[in-house]
Amino acid sequence: MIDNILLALPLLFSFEVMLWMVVGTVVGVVIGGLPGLSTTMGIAVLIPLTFTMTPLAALGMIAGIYNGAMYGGAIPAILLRIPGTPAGIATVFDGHPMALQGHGRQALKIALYSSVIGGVVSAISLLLLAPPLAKVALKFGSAEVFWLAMLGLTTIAVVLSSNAVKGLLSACFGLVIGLIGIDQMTGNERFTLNYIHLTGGIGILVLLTGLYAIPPAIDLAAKALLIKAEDLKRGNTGSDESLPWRRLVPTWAKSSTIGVLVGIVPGAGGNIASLLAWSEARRSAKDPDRFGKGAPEGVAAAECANNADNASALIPALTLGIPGNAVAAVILGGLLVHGLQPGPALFRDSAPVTYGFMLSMLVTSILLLIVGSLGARLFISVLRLPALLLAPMIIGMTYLGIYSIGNSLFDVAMVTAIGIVGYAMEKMDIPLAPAVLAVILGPMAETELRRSLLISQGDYGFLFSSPISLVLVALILVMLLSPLVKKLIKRKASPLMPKDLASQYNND
Amino acid sequence: MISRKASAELVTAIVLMALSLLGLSFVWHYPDASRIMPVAIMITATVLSAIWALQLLLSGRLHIQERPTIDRAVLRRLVVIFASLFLMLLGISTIGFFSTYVVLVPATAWFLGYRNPKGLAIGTAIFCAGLYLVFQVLLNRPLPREVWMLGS
Repeated sequence: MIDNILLALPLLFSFEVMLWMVVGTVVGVVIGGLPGLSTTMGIAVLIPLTFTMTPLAALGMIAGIYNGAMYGGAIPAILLRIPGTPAGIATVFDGHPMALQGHGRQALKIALYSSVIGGVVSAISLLLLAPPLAKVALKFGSAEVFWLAMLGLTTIAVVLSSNAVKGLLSACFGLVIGLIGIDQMTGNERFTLNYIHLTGGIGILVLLTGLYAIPPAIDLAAKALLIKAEDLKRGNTGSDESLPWRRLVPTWAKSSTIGVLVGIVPGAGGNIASLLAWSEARRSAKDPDRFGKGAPEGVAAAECANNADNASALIPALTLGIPGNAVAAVILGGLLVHGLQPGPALFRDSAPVTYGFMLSMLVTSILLLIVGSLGARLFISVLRLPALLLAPMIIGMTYLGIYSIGNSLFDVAMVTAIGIVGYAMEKMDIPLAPAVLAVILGPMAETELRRSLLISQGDYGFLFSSPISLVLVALILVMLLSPLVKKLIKRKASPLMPKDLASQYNND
Repeated sequence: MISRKASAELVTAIVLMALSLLGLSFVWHYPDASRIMPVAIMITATVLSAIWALQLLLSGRLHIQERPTIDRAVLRRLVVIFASLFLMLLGISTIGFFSTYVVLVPATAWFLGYRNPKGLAIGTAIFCAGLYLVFQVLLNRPLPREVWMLGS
């Protein structure tokens, strides 16, 4: 592991990679700061720009966007009571009251420091845990890899959806998209409808930008969020107060641990991490009544946990191809765009880039401290950008980005069509991430299935012949039955939120 | 009166079931080596959409009384943004990216309700200049010729 880190370091600290990490971090904070824009959208829109970059520069930029956006979401959460990202919900609870009480600047500072600490702890966990896990996964044979891909799909489909059926249908949609084109093994056309443009298949980038860039742009236009200039002044309220370190340090320790653990669990996401960390901080406080009324530890817990979720969500994603959240699924798509097949083989076949990417999660977390401190005022003023002007700009940028990759207007038309389908899916609460993951894992699963059948001369029993396969099949069954457990947990978890906020966000 | 969202979901589930069955009839005739996954996917999708439809029918959501709550302003903005999606697509294929954006970005924002001429002008200028700088100057990507370049 040390050897691989040493190999990756010179690549990581090259001028090009450093530059794009800074750019990614700045862009990430801006995207996270704008209500209605998500991390997934930011990465999806900007991936076409990375096409001409070296893989590590591209991945460094993506790491910057990921970490930056998670902190950026705290800015509108604190100043406007609108979380910029779903993971910023718990930041609202204490962040906004702090801003109303004239401590806006302190709240933003706590959010920044907490995000940096959470990000650093998470990146270190990724560096320590991913390589040994990949080593184990590398021992898997074709049948095990097939079941692993199926487990990944089932997990993300079941966990990311309120209704497992919808999640699984989304995965089926992605699997069909992934199969469109000429079958590489037999040369047969599949799902092409005899349309020549479809024989080459639909690229992962077309799917990513269609699903993640167009629906938010439509939503942004429909909701027409208006931000009052006086609300933004709260970011400058309060003098340069010192931080209550004694209360914050234990909160950071607990919240970063919670964030890392939640991140590893596929599908849980930063919003769950921050809610759990916030409720734990309140539960363990001597005076829990302060929480929800402007407690600095509340902001620290939420922001530390949601950033601690970032890199750790990549642990199952990079090693097993099972993303911890929707952003990790999009990042897997980003890897594919740069010729890197997600899964344990990454650590063997592309070690310098893979380790470089993991290190870039650490470096961008630290860069966030510099970028966030120097650009605080700029990031607040970004909230002045009119949503109604941003919506057509996002569409324009998406179209240009996707065209620039394949010089194909057909791709642009496909992005539009997939975008409209994605918008309809969102309106019907059908998660998008399973579709993306299915496009990534589907072809891999099919190849491994065929290989297994070839080895066993068509005997399907071979798929169930090893103990690892049986464990994976059992896990798939557990996953399929888990919605019942989820319902029970949800009943217990809902009181974590103050009542008014729970009603506001549960209705979304 | 029935719940609009639930009935839309029911229609979607039925359409998906029909499409999956149709797909199954196609993929069934694929050669052996190419059909394992497509057949499995189509059968799964058929079963899942049937379960989805059944869930909706049994949930009682279809019979919830719901007053029509169409926000005309939201509907108007949706029409504008959907129209802009198609107009942009049409524009870039005929008059080029930047010519389309110079016209359609401010026009869309205007029709969506952003009526600040100075903001529109500055925003559009920065947006187009930024894209030109990145895609033409920095990345040097070949783009369709702009309408004002055709004579040159």
